[in-house]
Amino acid sequence: MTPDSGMSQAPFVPDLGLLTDSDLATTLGENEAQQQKKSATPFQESMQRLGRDKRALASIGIIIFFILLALFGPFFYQRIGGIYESPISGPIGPQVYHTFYHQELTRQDELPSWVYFFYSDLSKADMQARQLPSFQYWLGTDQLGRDILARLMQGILISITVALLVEVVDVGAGITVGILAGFNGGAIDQVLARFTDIIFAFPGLLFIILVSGIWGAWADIALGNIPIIGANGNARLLVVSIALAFVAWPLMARYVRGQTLQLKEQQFIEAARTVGTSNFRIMMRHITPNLLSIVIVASTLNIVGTIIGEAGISLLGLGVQPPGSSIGLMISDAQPQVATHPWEILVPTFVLTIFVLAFSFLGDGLRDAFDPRAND
Amino acid sequence: MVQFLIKRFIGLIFVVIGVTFITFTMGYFAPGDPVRAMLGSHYDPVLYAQLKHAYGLDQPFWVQYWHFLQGLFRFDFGLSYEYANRPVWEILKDGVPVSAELGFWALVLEILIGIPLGILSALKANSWVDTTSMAIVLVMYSLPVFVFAVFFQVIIVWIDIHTGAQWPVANWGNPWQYTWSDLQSKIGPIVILALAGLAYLTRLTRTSMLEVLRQDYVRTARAKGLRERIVIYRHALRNALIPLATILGLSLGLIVTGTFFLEDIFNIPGIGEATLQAAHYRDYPVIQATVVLLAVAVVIGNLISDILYTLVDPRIKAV
Repeated sequence: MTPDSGMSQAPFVPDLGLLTDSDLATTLGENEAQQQKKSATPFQESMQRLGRDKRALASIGIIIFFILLALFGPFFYQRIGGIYESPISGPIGPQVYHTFYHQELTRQDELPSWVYFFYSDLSKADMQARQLPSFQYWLGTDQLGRDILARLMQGILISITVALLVEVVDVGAGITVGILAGFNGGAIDQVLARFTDIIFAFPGLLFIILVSGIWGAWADIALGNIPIIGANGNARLLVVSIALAFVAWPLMARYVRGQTLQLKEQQFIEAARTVGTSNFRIMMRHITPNLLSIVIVASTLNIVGTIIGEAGISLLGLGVQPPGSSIGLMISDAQPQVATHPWEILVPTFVLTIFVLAFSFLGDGLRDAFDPRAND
Repeated sequence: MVQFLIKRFIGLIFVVIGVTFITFTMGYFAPGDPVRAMLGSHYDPVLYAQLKHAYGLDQPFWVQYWHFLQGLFRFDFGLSYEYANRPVWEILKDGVPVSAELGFWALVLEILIGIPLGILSALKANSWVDTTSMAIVLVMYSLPVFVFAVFFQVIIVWIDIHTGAQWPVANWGNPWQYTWSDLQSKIGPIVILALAGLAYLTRLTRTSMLEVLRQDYVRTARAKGLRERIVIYRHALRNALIPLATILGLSLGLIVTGTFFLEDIFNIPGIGEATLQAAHYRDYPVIQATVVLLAVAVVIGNLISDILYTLVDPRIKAV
């Protein structure tokens, strides 16, 4: 890797004007520290490059925001708001009407109230006369009177959970098989190559459609009783996640295999072998740490595919089942209302767009950071 | 070249066997007994045995798989579980021309726009044309096709409401017919389906073209004093197109997945829509048939790509 010398030296020039004699000792210490900083590890250099990539940093910010929103949003959201006198369910608090599954059938298809600030021709009296919405639902409600913001937070949570699940399998299986295939070659390598060919023949989501189409209904019944992961129509996600991981890991294994093939010819491996290090130890201590960059980049880009895959399969009606929520399910639920209430379909689509682009840009940024020469 | 193709062909057979095996096994071990479900409350042991025999479900695993493989060559995918006595192919066959039409025009559009755009980007590398088109392409490539479909629908609805236009939001005209009303409903889905592959193709063309423009023979051509147009179209472009021959298989993959979403969102009566319907009824044979059909189509697309590649690239012929 070639460090771009012009940039890496500039930020560490100490401001000498502020120094007194008594500071001299520490300054010398700092100088030593600087010299160590100059010979930063390749990983630190990459992180510095990433730190200068504004688009990647913004993406990280957006991703963190969405994750925090999904994890802690519902907790606060269900504590904000007064008691609502529901004509159907009686007086209910925000811990009821701010959940993603509560249906308030008298409050269907509402726009959020702040939208009306942009309509200057509507006075407050007008709004009251037309019974336009209060501030109760921050992003409005869908066709069954469910809170869109609550459903969105649940949908993002689902996206993140599935992405995490798939990535654990992807990275675990990908690294194990990839290293073995690259380091030992032979039978494992052959099997991996053939298996990858077969998996690649299933274009895109076709395999997931096959698995979920055949096993989905079974999963609804058999796994529906498992608390948290099975309840609320999420049972199929387990099947979908397994299918997504099954399709994803061969590609990871291929990347790892390629990298291992290169690494194993390097001198430090030869050196390790000369002093009698066992193969297992070479794989664990000398090859695996060097795979870090390629695995991080590949898994970030794979998260994009996973999030799209989960949303897509739910959109097709083969993923999360109602009353559960998923971004894809929200899009498909709002589809019949696209002519009358476009807001309901725009919100989840827009959020998905931002979320996917953030991961995509982050993956791009990471790739550039780890391998600056890889640009076209 | 013959050796190369034979090797590819053997690989193809292997992949097809793998794909059919996975698809078949998935259905074989599917939970629940379809025949039992079909009979419902009219359960009768004799009838049950008869039906089971009619569907071939009383045979051992390998025999069933063998029948499944044999059937593929005759477009015989067995009988539907949902509609008694109705062959699977009958359910799918009306959808095939529709899906094929959607995919075909998307592929054509993708090539007609993607390649020139990629060339333009490469020739104007690092100018504003290049940076803008590459930024757009990056966004298009990252986003799934259904996002564009949704945005498109919302825009069409908005235009229809505000201008009184009658542009259709969904549905498909008569397959392979192009009157104005047919075109109206077809243009949208086709353009959207082309987008994803288009982004990929544009990026690839640009990379390939930039690579070729750096070659010595391009410099030689310029040094000879040839006109820039001849250098680009005769010397550079021809060579830049060689790696693009391999893209057909990949584009087909993108298009196949995209078809499912577009058929679902735009209510197009293709095989994707039929398969999704079948999934709701747990009509496995239909799902299996679609998956095998599409996977084999993609594999054959890959083979055609390889053949094209050997035809356009003189270096492979020599081997």
